[in-house]
Amino acid sequence: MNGCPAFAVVCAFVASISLGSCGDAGGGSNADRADAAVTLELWTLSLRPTFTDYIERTIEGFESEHPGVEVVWVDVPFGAVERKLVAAAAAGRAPDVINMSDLMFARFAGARAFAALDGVLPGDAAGRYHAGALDVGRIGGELYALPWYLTTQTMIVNTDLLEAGGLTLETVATDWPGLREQAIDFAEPGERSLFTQPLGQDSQLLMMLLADGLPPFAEDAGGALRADLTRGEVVEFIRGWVEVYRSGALPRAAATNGFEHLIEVYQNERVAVLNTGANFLGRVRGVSQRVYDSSAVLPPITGSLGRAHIAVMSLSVSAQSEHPELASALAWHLTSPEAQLDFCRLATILPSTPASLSDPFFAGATPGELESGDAKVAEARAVVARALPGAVAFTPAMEAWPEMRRVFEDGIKRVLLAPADAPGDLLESQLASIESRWNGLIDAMNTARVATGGRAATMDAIPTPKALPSADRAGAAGPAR
Amino acid sequence: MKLRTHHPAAPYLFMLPALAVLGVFLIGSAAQVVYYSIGSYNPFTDTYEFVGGANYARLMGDGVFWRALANAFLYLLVTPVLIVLSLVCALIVDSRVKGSPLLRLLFFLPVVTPTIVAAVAWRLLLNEESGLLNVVLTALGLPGANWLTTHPFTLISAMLVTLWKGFGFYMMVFLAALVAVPRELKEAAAIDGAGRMGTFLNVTLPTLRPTIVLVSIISSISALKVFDELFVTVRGVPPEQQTVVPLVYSLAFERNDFGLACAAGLTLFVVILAFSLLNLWITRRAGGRDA
Repeated sequence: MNGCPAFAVVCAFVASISLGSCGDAGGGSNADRADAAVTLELWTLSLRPTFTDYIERTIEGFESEHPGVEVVWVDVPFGAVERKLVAAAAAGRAPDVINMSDLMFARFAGARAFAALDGVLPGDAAGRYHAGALDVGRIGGELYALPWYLTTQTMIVNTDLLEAGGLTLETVATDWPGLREQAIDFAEPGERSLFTQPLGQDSQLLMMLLADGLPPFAEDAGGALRADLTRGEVVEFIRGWVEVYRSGALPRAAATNGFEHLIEVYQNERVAVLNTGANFLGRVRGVSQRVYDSSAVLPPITGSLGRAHIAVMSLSVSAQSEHPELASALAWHLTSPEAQLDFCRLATILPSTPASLSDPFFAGATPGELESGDAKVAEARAVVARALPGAVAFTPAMEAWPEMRRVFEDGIKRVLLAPADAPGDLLESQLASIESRWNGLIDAMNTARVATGGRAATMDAIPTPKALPSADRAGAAGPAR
Repeated sequence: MKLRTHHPAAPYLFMLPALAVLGVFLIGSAAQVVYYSIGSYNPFTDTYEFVGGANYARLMGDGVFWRALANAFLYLLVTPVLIVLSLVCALIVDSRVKGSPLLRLLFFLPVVTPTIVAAVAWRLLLNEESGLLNVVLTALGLPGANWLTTHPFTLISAMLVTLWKGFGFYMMVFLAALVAVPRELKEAAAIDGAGRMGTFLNVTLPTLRPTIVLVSIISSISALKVFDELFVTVRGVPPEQQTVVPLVYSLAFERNDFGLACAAGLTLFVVILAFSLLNLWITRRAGGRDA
């Protein structure tokens, strides 16, 4: 036993080592790896193996246009990209071009992980991309990301389950207040719910607030941006959702499981209506042909502004890249209208280039799809393509936004999951607490911006009705009919 | 043949590769954790600013950290259950009853099951609306519980995964120790009229004491730094329902707050060290009294 104290020390020490992964290992530059004159490293998110041929073909096109440039493509699992990027950056080996979701992008942009693209792009971004999608990549007036592929929502309905609950495609509500009202009577707790929506994890509440023209922000007397979550109409909007959740009308997982619970409850025929990406329908078909067959596609549920939300996958150039101009050219090449149209033919996604939308592919099913029984997926594609020109990324373009969302999600989960006998008005107290923390985050963000020569965030960063691009500007060309 | 005299540096040269690996991957990394915990580090701009104890001050003032630490200690409740269960299983397998090789295999199977797979399977069992556990409870006329969303059921759910995954490993440790129990002592106890329980309490258990201390320390450390089970089984619950390591992960990789993450990790290291020394001190004192 004499060795045991030393053993305990070692055990405890080893336990702590698992936490020591944020080291700076030094390391070489990208150029060290190059056999070609220039090597660029491209990271994408979960595209291999389904889209291997497409990506390799597109990269070959770029390499043939840029002799002496070799592109090394690395596909990273979606859930691992954040820690892999941190580790790579700490080693001084961040990839030249990085694929990010809109929320991930803002957080890393705040850490100054990306190079500004204004001035290094080979063309005019404003004339090429969907305005709402492009705005997501603009932080503090500087462009840090090019929009790549987009997803917007469509309403997917399990008609059999709907009828079992006494509703039809004609009688089911097509707006959130109506659906919430019908959900109470429709629900058989543990058996079926009319619809579900991520409310805590991956919370859609903030997006829905913005889509309803109720931004949880305001300007103070000096024009500075402040959080405004305790405004009466904002509180009542959120209270409506909290009440329907706490009544048991929605699946319990709506508070904690985010988007991942949608497919689970829909394929298990426990939820009749979803408002989600068109690509979801293909996943349903892969899991349950019966549910797919009984599914119908309707236009997306929008807020009172009537504008659908778009989620943006973007491409950024690393601030550590030794070849920012070539890296920008690679991002430009991958996001070209032609390359995006090819990509859309392989996946149920939408292009960020309105020019691609004019292709007949977005008008309905192709002969091949009709033959293979994919007409419903094609119908969903046509529905979302029609909604795209007017769609908006209801995502404030601020580097503090991901952290603000996290603070909101933590607080709203406490409200959603609170015991029935929780004292006082927990919602109001939590919103007041979130508002206070948001203001702290806004102040810290603005201080950092000003310190680096940037300008403080204003209401311009918030997608309010006044600030939204017109549908014409958002998507210059609509889909062919 | 005459043996050549050893060079005095030879032992150290043999140790050098292992020391180099330890130095780089253990000591070096640990030193970096200390370094980052007293600074503000941005890996993207490769900038480091010394902030002294500011990260620790933030940590001490953070109610979520204290709740997470309290939950980590609550998680320690899994340790005695784990020890008893694995010891009982080891005794059953060691008794060479019919089918004990099959039992050994079955008991060990969860150990080689990936934690992710185990946690996903348990998620299905614990699902609050359609999971088997609540269905059975309801059928028995008992109320179901919110296993995946409500504290402390969330911790209990993760503990079930830890228990299921871990008892087979500790059973093997106890099995190895049971082989070392002197047979003559057992025979002498039997001759003296001790029953099976008497033999176990007076011969087997005292012989197993070092192994029990070892299992207790290892499983306590594992419980205090639990991550996988919580991350997969009850991911998405509010942070105050988590323990320290998921909080460290969130701080580092979801919020880029590496200084605070390292401060939290280092504080957990100190807590685990203190707890392990206390554990040893208590068991040694108890051992001394028995002697």
